[in-house]
Amino acid sequence: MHNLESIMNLLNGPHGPAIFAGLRRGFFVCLALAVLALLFAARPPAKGHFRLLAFGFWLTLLAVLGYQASWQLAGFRQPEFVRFMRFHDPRPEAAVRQIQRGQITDWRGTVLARSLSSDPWQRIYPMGPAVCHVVGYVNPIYGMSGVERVADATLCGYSFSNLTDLDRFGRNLLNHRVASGSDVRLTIDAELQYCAYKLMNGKRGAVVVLRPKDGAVLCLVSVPAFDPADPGAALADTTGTPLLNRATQGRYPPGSTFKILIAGLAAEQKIAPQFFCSGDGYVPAPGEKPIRDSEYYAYLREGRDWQGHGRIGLTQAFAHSSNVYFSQLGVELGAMPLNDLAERSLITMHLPYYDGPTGALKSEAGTMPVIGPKAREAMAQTAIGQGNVLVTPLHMAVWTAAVAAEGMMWRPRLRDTEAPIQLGRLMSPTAAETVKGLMRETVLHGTGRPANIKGLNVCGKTGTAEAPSGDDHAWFTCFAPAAKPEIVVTVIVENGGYGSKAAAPIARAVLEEAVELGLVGTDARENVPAQ
Amino acid sequence: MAKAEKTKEKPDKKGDKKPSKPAGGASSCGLNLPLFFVLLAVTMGYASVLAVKLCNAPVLTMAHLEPLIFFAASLLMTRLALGITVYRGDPAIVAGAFLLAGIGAVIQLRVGAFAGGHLEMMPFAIGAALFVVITILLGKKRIGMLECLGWPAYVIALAVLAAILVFGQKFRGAVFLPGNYNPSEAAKPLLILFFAAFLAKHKKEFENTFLGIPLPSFQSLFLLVVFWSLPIILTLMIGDLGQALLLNAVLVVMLYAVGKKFGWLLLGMVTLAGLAILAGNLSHHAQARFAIWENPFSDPVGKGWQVLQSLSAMYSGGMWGCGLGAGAPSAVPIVSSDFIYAALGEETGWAGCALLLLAYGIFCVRSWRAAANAATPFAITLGAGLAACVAAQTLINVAGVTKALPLTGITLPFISHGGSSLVTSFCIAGLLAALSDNGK
Repeated sequence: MHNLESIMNLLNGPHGPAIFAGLRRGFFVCLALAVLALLFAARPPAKGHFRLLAFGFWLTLLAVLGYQASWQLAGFRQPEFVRFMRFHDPRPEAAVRQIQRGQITDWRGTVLARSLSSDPWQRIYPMGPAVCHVVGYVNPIYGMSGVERVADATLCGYSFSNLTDLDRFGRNLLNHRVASGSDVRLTIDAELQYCAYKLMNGKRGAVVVLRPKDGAVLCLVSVPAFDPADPGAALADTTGTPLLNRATQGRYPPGSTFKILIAGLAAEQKIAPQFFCSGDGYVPAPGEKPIRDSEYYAYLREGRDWQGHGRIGLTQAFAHSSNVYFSQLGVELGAMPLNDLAERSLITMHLPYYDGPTGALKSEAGTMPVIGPKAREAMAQTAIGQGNVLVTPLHMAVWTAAVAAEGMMWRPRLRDTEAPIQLGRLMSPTAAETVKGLMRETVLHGTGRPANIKGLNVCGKTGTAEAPSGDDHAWFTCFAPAAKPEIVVTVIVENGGYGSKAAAPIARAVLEEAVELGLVGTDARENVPAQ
Repeated sequence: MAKAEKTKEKPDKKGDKKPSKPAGGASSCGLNLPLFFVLLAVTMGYASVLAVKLCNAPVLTMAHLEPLIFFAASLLMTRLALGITVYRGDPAIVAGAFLLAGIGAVIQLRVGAFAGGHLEMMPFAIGAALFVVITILLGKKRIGMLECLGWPAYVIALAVLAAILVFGQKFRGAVFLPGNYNPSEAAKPLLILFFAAFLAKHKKEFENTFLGIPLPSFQSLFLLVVFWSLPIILTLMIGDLGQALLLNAVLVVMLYAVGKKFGWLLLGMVTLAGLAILAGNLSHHAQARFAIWENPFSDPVGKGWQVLQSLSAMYSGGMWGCGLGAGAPSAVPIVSSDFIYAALGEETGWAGCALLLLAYGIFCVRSWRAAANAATPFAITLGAGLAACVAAQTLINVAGVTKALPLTGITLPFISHGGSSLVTSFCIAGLLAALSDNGK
């Protein structure tokens, strides 16, 4: 027994590796000698038609060995295989797991995700749940999500445009040299993101902040959030659905915020009719329920009688978000322009907001019904953003940004180095100018007053959308300053009630923080050297 | 114990410097040198595995050493027995069988076999004993005695297959007898024996060609189809598609051995491909296997898991492997039977796999050579079929593990875990060694 222990100590001691290397080489030499001895052992002469058989067998063996080499020696050429091994190869010292994963940072360089140099597998998320839906997670059990997923190849350093680089990378891996990936810089502003996350704390909903002139996403908050270091706990939570990114995957009826598009349509057709808006509401087609203003219900709750707005024009109707006016406007516009709007607004499209080498992040596609030429009810409902209209908060922010950017929709982008791309025109520049005026009036004298900030000409629109269950969803979408828009803020609070009460104050606080951070009103961003 | 092996290692390093010696130093029957190196290689492999075990705990029981002792003893006994009976056959077939079985014992010890004591060594002992008995009994052109046993062999093979079908239980899409013992292995050499006898009897008809196209008489072809379809249908009913594929490949080679025309190989390959496509369309099990083979990444943690783990294991081995005993082959599900090649790929690397396949190649090619030199049509066909059985089984298994072909669940001859596989492999090797012995 003592003898065995001394052998064990010897094997575990400083000479251990040399002994094992010797045994390995010895085995190879002996095996090669044995095979050579077989090959040269006294052999009978080859004859007959079996030579062809032998030749074919050797050839097939060679082919199988070659194919085996394409995995065993050159497996790193296949990104899918590398990814499989990163997640499912249980060998702790496996070469592919030694890759130092790159960092994810915001546009200032604030770290959103990093790895420990001692354990490349462990991922640290300094911002925690505040930015979890954007950054996502990387986890040996739960896989990947968010930017961690679509930028995996960049972060791990195996996204190569040519094979020479890939081969060098693979050789590093095979030689167990530590390979490292590249960093990914996002357009997110960590401080604004954190501020918006704090404001939304305890609610359900989303905040999207965009830069209208190029579609950069400054803030993308979805609550409830989860701890990216432990996705398992979030998966177990079935009531709050924290894993759902409400900002890009949640589809909501836009409610009155949709009037931005309807007003734009009216402005493009150069019509601004006056309608009589009575307290009894508007019945678009015989036998249908009347469409009423929200004031009707508010008065009803207090036991009073709502007399209606009377005869009003577009400006007043927009500022006070009159459903009675806009449903009549919708019927007046007719099916054709509304159906055309569905196409132009790209509502049924997935908006990509991060295009990575191993996949893209895309928003969920919204819906809008195709309206028949005589479907007055559908025209009226669509014009007030109800019926079967559904849209993601990100898409709403893109529309608002289009009003701010002379009617042009820019593709939202999350990666700092991605070039801005135009998606298409939502409305003509003159129509955009008109709608901008309407939105300014709304913040000055209408439902958007809670978002009025002195010295910053905010333009906005509230929305109070009927939810399938519970209180209405509260929307507020705005941009500022009016003359030269630099920021778009879209807020939705699920079951929050009135947009002016629940969503507008949040948007206002986000705008104030943006001013504080120098994102609005100064040209701070332009002074930063391009990355 | 490990020290003793290390001192032994020194003299053979000297032998390394004179590679010409094996070529020239053929003794009376040329068995000594190959068998010596085989024993050396297996001992080195054993020492590597045991060193890793000792590294973790200072426990070395007889159970750890028994497989090696068994191996060395059976190798020496074989050498003695063959020496006494003046074996004049091909030494490469004998040494090749022991090399493959020895590597099998090493890697099986590595992945956790032989923990159950003596019982697990029995297949090895029985296999080696049968090998010697068959080689001596049927050597010196006595192999012809088997020709009259064709019909009993056929009946037994059919009975075995029918018994599996009746008493077997479903496991992983195919049927096995209780305890997952798979006696269909034994059916293979029996069927080859019968068809060798059958084809030798109808040799004239199968030699007949027209413009290079084989054109056997209708009667003999009809009989062949009837006799052949019975075991194939039974195998397919059991659900063992791989076995059916293997048997068909063997039949093609046997027809080629008899007919001597390239047309037989061509015709056989076309038929095989057609049958494979047909099976793929009819069987869901085969379809699923085919889909995984096409794209294992479509379901990486489900159906693609096993083959991807196997490839990951091999990738972690690289060119030279991580050393016997130093890897983590248990990450591959059921590594000890169908996927043993992945464990070898991980621990001995691509180079080790290449050497192993070289050994298989030598074994099979030498066997075909022995068959070509045999005296009677029966011996020629039998040898060609048996060698083709080992060759096709090796190819199908290795191709499945490396994802070159869809998985079929066929064992690697001599190396995969499982008593029936090892005993069958030894019996086949014994028949081939006997066949090569043309002495008086």
